[in-house]
Amino acid sequence: MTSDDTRMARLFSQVAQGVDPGDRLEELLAEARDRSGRSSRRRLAAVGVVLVVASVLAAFAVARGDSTRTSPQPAAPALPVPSTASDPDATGPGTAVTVYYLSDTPDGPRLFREVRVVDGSPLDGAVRAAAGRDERGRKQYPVDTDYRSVWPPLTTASARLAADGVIEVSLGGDPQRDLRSRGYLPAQEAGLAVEALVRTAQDAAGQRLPVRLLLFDRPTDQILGVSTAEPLDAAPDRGVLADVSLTDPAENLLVDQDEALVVRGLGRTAGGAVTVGLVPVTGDEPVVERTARSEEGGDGLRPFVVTFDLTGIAPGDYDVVARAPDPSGSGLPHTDTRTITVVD
Amino acid sequence: MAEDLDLRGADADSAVEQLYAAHWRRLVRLAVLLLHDQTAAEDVVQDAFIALHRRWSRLRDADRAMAYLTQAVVNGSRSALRHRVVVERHARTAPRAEVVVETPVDAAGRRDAVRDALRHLSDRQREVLVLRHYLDWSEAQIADALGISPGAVKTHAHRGGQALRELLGDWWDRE
Repeated sequence: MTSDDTRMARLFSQVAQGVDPGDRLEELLAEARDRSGRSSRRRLAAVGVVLVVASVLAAFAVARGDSTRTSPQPAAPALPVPSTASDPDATGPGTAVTVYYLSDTPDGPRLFREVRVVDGSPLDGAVRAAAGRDERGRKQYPVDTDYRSVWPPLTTASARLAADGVIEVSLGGDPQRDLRSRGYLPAQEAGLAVEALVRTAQDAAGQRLPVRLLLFDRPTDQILGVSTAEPLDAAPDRGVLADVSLTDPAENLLVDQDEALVVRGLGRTAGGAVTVGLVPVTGDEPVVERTARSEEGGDGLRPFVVTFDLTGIAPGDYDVVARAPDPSGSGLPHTDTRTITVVD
Repeated sequence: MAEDLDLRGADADSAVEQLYAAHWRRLVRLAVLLLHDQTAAEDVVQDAFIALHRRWSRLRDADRAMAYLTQAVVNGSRSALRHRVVVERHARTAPRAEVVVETPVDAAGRRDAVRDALRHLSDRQREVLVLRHYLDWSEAQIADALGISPGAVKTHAHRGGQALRELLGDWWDRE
């Protein structure tokens, strides 16, 4: 360390010592408990319908099959379900949609998918969720705490099908300058954020239509530094989607010991098979592990499914851990997890 | 330090209480160095603790919790900075040649002078310098946290250090 380094460290330390932080323990604990309570209530209310939503969306995933997205492909229509099951504050019918979020893998950030129930237009609700807002304009986080939306905090999004066969997604809320440039975001995350919006919109529309991104309802040359002069299509899966991504179960699912736990998702099958384990949240070793059945062939992502008989599994919280094949033996396969609670 | 805490078996409330007692002050100070504004800094650190409470069942370890908190505070501070009022942004982007940091006469004045000088660095330079010299992080750790290359960390550290020395002028030389 140079003398300049030492001097700077001393100066910073002196500045820091001059700060006298206030006490917020009670305040932050109260808020944390309140949020935790709301999450639990949502979880309890969601149990029944999440199962229905998840299984139909899994069928959608299986039906979709191939991972190549270079040309528009048909996708299943969104499923209407009672919204009150997943959000006690919601009124009117809700729709299950797939929202793409970022999370980390050993190879860097990739996109993962989460099923959400949104009010109103599924297309509008889905892109709004991908941008991190709920229908009332409040900040909305992915349910899975491993996932994140990296859009600037004030971003709003709306979408519609335009007459020329293009999905139009308009962003706003955040200062225009911040949304045009990627600011602090690494280039890869900025690209994935735009990709997440495109894929979310296409899935919600049920068609792989080109997506035109607008800024404050006007055409723009770039969003987060990504060129948007022309409508965008989804990029090839490799390098964008994680090697494994769970569709079922939903995060925080409560499942009865007498029921079977069905785990579904998309995974890379080249060089092996996806394995799925149930790991107690208080431990590191799976109490049960299975190899997933999946369609074979190709280098893309394939739907997989594995079913667990929970008889004999002790009640408690578990992480459902899906692990992609690791043909190179790097010891760092991609994983996706969901936390569930087994009850008797 | 995190390694002195034994949080095995602790529930979320208890873990947050212990981590708060051990690290709240240091994390707020880190956020103040990054943000200048103590209220905003406390907001950022409070959010980090609330997020930690939510995901405690997955962390369950003092070192991992501390790493999570620190990264959350760095990220939160960066996010808050992006949305600073225009006045603040303007202050930071004023031509450096016009900036005068007065020679401090006492310890409090010296602290204010350094804080003032930090405000006139670019956000990136300030982040790199604070993480390097306050948290004593390596270039690799900083690169990882900020999502930039180690080479970029080196460049920002060099330029930021040079700018800080120029801002502090004679006083730096006499230190």
